[in-house]
Amino acid sequence: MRMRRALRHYCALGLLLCASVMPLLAQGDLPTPSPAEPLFQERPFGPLPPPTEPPARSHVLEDAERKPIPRAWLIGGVLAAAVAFLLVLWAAMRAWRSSNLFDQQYRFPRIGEAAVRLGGKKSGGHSAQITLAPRPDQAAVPNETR
Amino acid sequence: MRGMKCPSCSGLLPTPEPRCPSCGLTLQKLDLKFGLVPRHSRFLSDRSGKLDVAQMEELREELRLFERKFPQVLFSVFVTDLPPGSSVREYGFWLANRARFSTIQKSPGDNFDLLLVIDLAGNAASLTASYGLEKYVSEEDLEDALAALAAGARAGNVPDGIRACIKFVTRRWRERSKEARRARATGTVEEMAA
Repeated sequence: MRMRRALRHYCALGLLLCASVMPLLAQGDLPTPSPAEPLFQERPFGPLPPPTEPPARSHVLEDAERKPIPRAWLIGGVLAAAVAFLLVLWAAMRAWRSSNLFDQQYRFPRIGEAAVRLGGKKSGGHSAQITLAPRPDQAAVPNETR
Repeated sequence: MRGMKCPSCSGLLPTPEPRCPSCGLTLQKLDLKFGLVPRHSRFLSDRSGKLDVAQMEELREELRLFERKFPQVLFSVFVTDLPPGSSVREYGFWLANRARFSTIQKSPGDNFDLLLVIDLAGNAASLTASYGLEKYVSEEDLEDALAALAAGARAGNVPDGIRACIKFVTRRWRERSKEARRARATGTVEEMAA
């Protein structure tokens, strides 16, 4: 029993020694490291490269070369802008009047004492009447004027 | 007083009469005819039950806006189904006097209220002006406002008709108010109704 255990220990020690020696043996096969070449080779006094060609002409023209906008276009643009402005102004006025944005108030002057008619204390019957067209949900009956 | 007519027989009332000389109409007679004043609210009342809540709220908002523009004028709309044979013009006259759309008690001359009654059962509508508006708003103005209502409600859409009527009245009353102020400035208020 003891012999087996000792044998096992010796085997383990042997394996460890082999494992530690293996890299040293492998290194012997690798090439010796040499300093890397520089990425950019300096040529301080070498011949100058030929000059590159100038870039192609840009599509953007100089101010002086730009063609003037036709006068008719200018007038048309100004007129279109004026019409658009007037339309916006008109719509804004309508919206303002319908929503009474600035709380504009309208009043009628007081007329004094009213002549009471037919016993009415608030209204004397100043009125109008109209007959409406029959609604679609109503049966078609002759329109009776009442 | 010029051009005032009886709301029942449309006969001319040359002087302030307690009863119509042609048909004998008085407010008391209409009390007997129409009975109790129906429940109503300040801006819009629907006794027919045909307007939905959202539509009513929108219309109330428009009537509130109208009141902001014309602080003296309370424009009330009353939608109902009158019994057959009833005159919507008589009903409008009666309701304008008996109902309390406004809580403020005013003297007749200070009352500028306006009442639109729409009778859905009879397909008729009336617009009744109070004493304060008589000098500034003619019967033609009222008829035109009702024509706007009829045009707006052509497809049976009563809320659209009411909206059109409110819009028309706003426009016309604005003109009338400006005219009245100009006339007052020149001292010709009395000539306005001509």
